[in-house]
Amino acid sequence: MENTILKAEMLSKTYSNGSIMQHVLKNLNIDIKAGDFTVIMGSSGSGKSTLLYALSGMDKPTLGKIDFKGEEISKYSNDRLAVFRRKHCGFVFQQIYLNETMSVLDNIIISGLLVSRDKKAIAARAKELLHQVGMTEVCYQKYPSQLSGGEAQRVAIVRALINAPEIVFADEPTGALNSTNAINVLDVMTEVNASGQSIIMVTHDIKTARRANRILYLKDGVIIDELKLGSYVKDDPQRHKILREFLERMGW
Amino acid sequence: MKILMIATNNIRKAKVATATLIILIAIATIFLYVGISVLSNLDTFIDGKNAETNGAHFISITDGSHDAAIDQIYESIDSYASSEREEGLMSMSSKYQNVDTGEEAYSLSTLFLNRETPRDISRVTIIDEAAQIPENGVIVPYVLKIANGYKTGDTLKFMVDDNTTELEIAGFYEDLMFASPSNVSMYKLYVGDKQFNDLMNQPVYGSKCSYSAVITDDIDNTEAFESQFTKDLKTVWPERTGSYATLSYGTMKIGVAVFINIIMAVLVAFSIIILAIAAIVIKFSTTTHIENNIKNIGALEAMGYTSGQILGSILVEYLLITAVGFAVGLGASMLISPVITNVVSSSIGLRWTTGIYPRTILISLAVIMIAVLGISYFSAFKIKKITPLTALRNGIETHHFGKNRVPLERTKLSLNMAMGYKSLIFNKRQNLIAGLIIMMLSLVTVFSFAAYYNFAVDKSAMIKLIGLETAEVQVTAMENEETIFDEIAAMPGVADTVKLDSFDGVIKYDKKECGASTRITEDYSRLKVDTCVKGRMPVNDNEIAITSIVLNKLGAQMGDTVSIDYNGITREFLVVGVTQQFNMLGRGAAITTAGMKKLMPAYQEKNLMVYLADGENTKSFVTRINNQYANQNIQTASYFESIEMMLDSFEASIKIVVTGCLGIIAVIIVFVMFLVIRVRILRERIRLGVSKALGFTANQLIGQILISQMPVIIGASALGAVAGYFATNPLLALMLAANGILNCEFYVDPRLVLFTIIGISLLGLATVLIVANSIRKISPCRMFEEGVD
Repeated sequence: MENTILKAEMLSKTYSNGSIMQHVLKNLNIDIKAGDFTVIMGSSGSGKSTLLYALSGMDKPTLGKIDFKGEEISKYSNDRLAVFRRKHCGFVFQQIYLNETMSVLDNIIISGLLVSRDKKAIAARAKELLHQVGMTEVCYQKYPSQLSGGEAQRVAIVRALINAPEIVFADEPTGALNSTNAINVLDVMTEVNASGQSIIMVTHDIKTARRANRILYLKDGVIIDELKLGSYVKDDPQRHKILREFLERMGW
Repeated sequence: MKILMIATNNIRKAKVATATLIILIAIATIFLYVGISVLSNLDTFIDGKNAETNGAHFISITDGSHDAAIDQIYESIDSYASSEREEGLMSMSSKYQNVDTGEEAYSLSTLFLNRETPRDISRVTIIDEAAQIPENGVIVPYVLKIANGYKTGDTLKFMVDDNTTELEIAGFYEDLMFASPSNVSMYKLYVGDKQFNDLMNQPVYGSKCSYSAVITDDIDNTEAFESQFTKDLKTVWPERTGSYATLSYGTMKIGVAVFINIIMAVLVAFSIIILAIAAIVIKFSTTTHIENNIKNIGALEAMGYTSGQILGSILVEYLLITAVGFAVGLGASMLISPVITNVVSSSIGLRWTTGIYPRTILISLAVIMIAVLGISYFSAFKIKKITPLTALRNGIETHHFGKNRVPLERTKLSLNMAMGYKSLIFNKRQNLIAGLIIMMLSLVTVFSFAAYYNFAVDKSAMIKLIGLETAEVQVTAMENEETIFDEIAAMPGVADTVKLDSFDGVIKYDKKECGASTRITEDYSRLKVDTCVKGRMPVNDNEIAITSIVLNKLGAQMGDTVSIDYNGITREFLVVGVTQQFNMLGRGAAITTAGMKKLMPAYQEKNLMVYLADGENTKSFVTRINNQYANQNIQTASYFESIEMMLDSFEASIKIVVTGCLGIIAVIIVFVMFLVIRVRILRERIRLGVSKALGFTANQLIGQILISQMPVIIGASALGAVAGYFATNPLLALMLAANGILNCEFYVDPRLVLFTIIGISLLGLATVLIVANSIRKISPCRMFEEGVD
């Protein structure tokens, strides 16, 4: 738990639109430990998603550096970052973003094939993961448009896990789901974290945030405070109270 | 106003499609406007040109032996109004070389007239007249300036056998009758009084002739005048051995216009192809626009806009684009008018002036508007069927429920290949459209290359189309024909000889009659050019083969019996074959020597076509013949060279048209591929962004686009080029059908087909690579955060 896997120092991100400069992230320092379930919260426009994408190597910071297991990835070229992402990261998005033209199984295998050429092994692991998230064989050859929102997001989670990444980045993964589906998805994410994979998740939802053991609160591009919680225990009223008080302090 | 706002907003959002459409419409406008303006105004233009100089309606050039009888014939014809006669010098075996342009010497018959002779018919108006016309000054046809690059002050060598006179070009003149050697293989040159008399006093340069020009009361029926004249002349001058030429205004007018009419018809056809491509682009971009903006459409409908208003906004959008494209095209047509002037002038041999033709502008605008708005309406009509709710729920978003043809679990393809192939299948509609466009353009490219090759590089197929023989030398003997022809046939360096004559025959069928240049030879199988397209050439003395033009005019067909009236003798002939020829406006026929002897028992062949052995020099052979028969009445001409020279005047026009077409094809391919790939990247922005996020590198994604696109480009260009290989001759025959051409044998070099495939594929590859390269610059999160355009 104490091993730092991802570290950002003096991280800044500025967007410019002509003469207008927008400083979205300002000199952030973050330390993510292996096995952490970190949630980033904050009001709209606080820079949550920008921070998530910068940490995952999807976007390059304007200033500062990001280390993954001691290696500075912020210096990497775009292609090297792509290789880094395929090997070490998994992604889950609010809009799910499955490839509509491909079957459920292909949507997962496509990520696996970026790392290994062993199609049989990848397919077997995909099926095993699908089974773990409660998807039956019937779904394998279905297309995303034939799935419910919850089913599609579970497929997206399997896609994120197919290469057994050290970190899973999730951008409001339950934002577009109804409460039942959201709970199912969060249960899967919790199990993933329990198996040792780090999760960094952006959310607006307090019920989602309850799953994390660490909450970072962002305001105007700066982490103004953080809350550390113990391991997740279902229906723990104390945990919910502490989190609510923290968020109230933040002006939630 | 609101509709206009939505329309302009749509245009702003779809810049690439808009630019592509504007360019396509502009190009279509250029071709359509230029094609229609030339086609519809050429006739009036030629009439106007002729009227400026009171140009002759009929011309007769003879040796002067029957002047009185000819004048009587003129006066006996109802439409005759007036005529002028003057003395000239006819040189049948003259050669020319412009020393200043560095051209090679070429053969062409010449009629010299005295510039200082007062004349009211076909007055000479000099273009680029020398400040002071020298004694050896010569006024030459305008076509030499525009097509051959002659300039005032150039030295023109006039050669007959070993005799040479240097003339200085002192200006140019326009005369429809002698406008282009491709129409009449003869120059009419005007020299000053002293030079004229010098030439007249040197028999080596030619013989005196009588040149008469006629004005009739009916300029639209000069061919009937010619027909009547020819018929009457035969009764008073059966053998007509001293009659050099008779030319009618009607025939010459059609003759000069044939080539440019074909070019303009090709331009109009090309504009229709471009409009078809524009229609495909409209269909493509309208569908894309509706798919991408379905939520906006839903929102507008929810706000109270009717589907009719939204459909109207799309029509207004294309109306604006068409207006801009049309204005750009019209402006460009004005800018390129010097090029068009050059092409038309060098083809017809008269100074064409490109003007502004309001009626043509309206016709072109109407054609383009109807085409564009029609296809826009049908493409966008589905909007009417979409309710606001379905639109807001992405109602017509395409869902894929098809069979998974490349399951990644089982495929043997590499990941990128498999992804590219999947994309190829998924984008099949767009690929089909792009493929169709590339196929059409590839076909046109091969056709253009083939046209250029056969017109400008290897002219033999063109000469065959014209219907002439490919003999290097033609010998005409007025005496001792048998002996001279036998001796020439036995000369070293001669591969073969064939006696081939022709006469102006009048063929009758039922109550109709038609003039035809009728060829006579003993055995048609010995000719090198087979003009027969149906049935066979005549073998027996009662058989005839006739061109389709003449057969159509007569209303006759193969198996019918026609008659030829010659010098009071009428003989019947059975039509055994259909021939084709471009020369003599397609009016031709063929009978055997035995058949001719039935019409004229004393007939004796006067023309010998001489085919030289490989490596034999035409010039030295002609000199040898002239030296050997210096004391005999014979004329020798470098036959093949003079035909090639005739075709040279078309070369410049063909070069301009083909180069222009190929350039435009390249631009269209680039724009269409640019549009296809750009729209695809915009549509698949999220997928590409997510792929990048998952770990695909930009190179992998570009590679997938290449894999999905290149088979379409290569396949379509190959299909189009191969179709072009097989379709060039049928298409050409279709275009020349009005000229009686049923079968073309243009050589289509397979290397050109390969070159077209490689060229288009490389152009496509470069375009795809350049456009797809934009994927490299976009960070994954920005791609999907920005959503679909």
